[in-house]
Amino acid sequence: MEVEVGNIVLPGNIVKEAESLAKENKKVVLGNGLRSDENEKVVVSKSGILCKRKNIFYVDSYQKRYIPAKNDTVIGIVHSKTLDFFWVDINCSELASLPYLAFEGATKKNRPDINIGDLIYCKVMQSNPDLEPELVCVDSTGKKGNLGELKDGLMFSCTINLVRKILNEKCTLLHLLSKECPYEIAAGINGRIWINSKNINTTILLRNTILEAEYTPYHQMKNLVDRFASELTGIN
Amino acid sequence: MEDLKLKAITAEMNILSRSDGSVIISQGDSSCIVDVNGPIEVNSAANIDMNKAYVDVLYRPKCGIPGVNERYKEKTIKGLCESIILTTLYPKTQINFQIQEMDDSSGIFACAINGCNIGLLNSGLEMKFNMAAVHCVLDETDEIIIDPDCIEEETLAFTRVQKPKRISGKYKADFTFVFESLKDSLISVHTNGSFSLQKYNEALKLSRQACRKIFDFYADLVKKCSVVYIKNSILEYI
Amino acid sequence: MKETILSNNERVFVEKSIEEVLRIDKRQLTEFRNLGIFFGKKYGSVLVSLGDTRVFANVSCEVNIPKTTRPNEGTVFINVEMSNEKMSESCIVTTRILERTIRDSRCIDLESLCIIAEEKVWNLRVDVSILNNEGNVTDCACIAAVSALAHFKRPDCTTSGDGEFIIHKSSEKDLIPTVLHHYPICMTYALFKGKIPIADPTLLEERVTNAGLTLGINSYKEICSLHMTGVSLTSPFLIQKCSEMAAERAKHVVEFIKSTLEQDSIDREKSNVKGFKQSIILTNVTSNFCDEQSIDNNAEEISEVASNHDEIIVVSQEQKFKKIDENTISTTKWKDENEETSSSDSEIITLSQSNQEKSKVESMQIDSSDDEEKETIILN
Repeated sequence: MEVEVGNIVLPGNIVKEAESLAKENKKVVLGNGLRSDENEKVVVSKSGILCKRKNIFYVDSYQKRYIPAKNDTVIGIVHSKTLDFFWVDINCSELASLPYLAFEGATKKNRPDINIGDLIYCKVMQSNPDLEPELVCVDSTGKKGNLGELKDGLMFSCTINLVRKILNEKCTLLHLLSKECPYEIAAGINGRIWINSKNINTTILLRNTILEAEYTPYHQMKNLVDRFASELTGIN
Repeated sequence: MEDLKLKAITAEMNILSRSDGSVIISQGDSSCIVDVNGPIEVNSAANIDMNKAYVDVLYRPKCGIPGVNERYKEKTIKGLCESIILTTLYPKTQINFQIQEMDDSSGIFACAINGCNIGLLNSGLEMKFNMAAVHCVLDETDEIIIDPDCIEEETLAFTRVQKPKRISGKYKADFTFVFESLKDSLISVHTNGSFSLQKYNEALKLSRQACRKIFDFYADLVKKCSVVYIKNSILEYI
Repeated sequence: MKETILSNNERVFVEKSIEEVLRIDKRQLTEFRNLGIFFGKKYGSVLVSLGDTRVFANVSCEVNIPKTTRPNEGTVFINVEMSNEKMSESCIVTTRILERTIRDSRCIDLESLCIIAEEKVWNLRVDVSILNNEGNVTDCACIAAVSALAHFKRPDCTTSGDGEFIIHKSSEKDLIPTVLHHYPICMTYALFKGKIPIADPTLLEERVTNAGLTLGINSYKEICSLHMTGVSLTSPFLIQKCSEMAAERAKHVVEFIKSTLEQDSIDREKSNVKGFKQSIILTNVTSNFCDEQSIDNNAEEISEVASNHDEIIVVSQEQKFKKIDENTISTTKWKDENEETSSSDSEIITLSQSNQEKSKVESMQIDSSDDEEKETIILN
């Protein structure tokens, strides 16, 4: 069955547009959920909605388990330590490695002060499917930036779709919430979100609001935040 | 020829919060819950090909411990899932299927296979195509009946069935056909009993008609939930 | 599948929030999650959901020799299975708690399960399967096991003097329900700092504090079992307080089980049994329902390619037909190159069917023996 951009697709459907673009010798990038088979047809391999951005085609699908990809920022939990690196759990099929030297100002004598069970906001440096993923806590200039250990606060798991939704520039949820109360948030593309605010009650409310936002369309975000505000003032 | 009907199908995805893909499916009077998890870490004890994902199926019967019949079903479903999932994309990992049989009125194998497919759609694993299983029987009057509801009265409550589980006394043969969605071709057959080739071909033809309804059901199911989960977030990209 | 490690932040947060009398899912400290009980079409199978925790239980029966110490009592066997192997220790703990609560509290009338003393008794087997663990699996499993036992009906049997033993079908004699003297329910409380009990802990709360207290209690405020886990300094006053709370709750739960059972029997009388379909919430976005559809036998749309490929005639070794007649229907060949057939020599034959019935052609019979079940082609 042939499908077009914007349609809801199932595995096995064929995308004609990408194929015709490729035949005209234009560069076509196949993203998540698409592959090309032996007949040079572009076939869908996940269920979801077919989307296109400039010349990149992809399928936006529902997923809970994370498949590591380079340059993604993720939240990991330190699982164990070895001589040279940490084993970090990032919600994918195996534990990722985070070398001691991949922190700002770390040297062989000066090890980072991180223990088992700590939360780390880090970046995926390498994600070969045959090897375990490699993480770093510095950017290319050697500065830490936003990365590093996350102290206090609450971390919860959600679907990958929710994280992508709230990080999307069209989504006003985080901006509206910030007007109601100050808070800190770190969103990992591996389906984990960490929030921290003044008191425990606000944090719990924030968590519930963000989880509800999964089912709320963009134009109803304002209502959601209004309800959050009224509950917040109701308790305070 | 009596009016052939495919029984009502009801399914709900995402019912188990801790698994990557799950579905409760009820086809006629047979129902089961399928739980898909993957890609996850593989136990290297098993002798497997590390270039592909390892598919592991566990079929839990309603009563008693799993026996030979369950192992047979697991083996068939494992073969089907290995051909559907793009296993080379997930090397060194394992994909687990757990099927809990809840109600069986003889179409449970087809129900479990359909459940596995919906579970895969829900879990976000990459697939080549969809599969649909149809169950039909050949009764004493040599008529083919699609998707019957036959309950074996005698073995209703027992833990162990004395003989290996067979087709219910009334029917001469039963077939479970599994079709794929690209060209509606047959990918697996499971039969019990004795039948003539002509009846087999008749059953095949009817089941092929029925499988298309099941593919439509999958499409509706995915449409319904995609609209909420995803469409809101990417309105601007279309 | 390994469980993800619990992060320090989560641990600290949950402990702090409990001190401020707050729970992450906005419940009160003594509030239980929503309970749902759904019975299946066959007697004795039930799906129970407590919040997001889901448990399936099924009861079946068998005739066995009784124990030598109790020759005129039937037996009950409880088996709990979880979805991942790694949880086998907690699996055994749950099984023991259920055995103590249900079997050792003598809630089932075991003497009614006796058929012939010292020779034959009914053995009831309860298979509990934990489908989803979102905390408090013990409570959910107990409610499932008790509901399944209350729902189960066993076949009637007669014994005659000369050793004949007949088990009757449900059409001959009515099925006999299980006699339960009382309904024991488990209530689990997680203990924080030895002072604060939390009812019905979620998985996160259970992992943060290992200390917990499980009370088996029935609607007559009788404690059937008591199980404490973890390490915690606590006072007897706390246990008393918990048991009072549990007794209140047990009444409601038992009433709920009984009303669901009644509703189920009313539905069965009206032949309106829905089975597990009722647990599927059709207004949810993730569910779909498709009514009975008739299949058009003579539809034109059968794709030519598919039907030509798949109408197989793969023949086993014996060929019994006598004549091949030319003016008859011939079936097409199997063309696919990538096949793996179960029979090593597959031949192409033409099946003849004469309209005039003169030639005696025996139609091909593919007989599968009792043990062997054919599986033909799986395409890769």
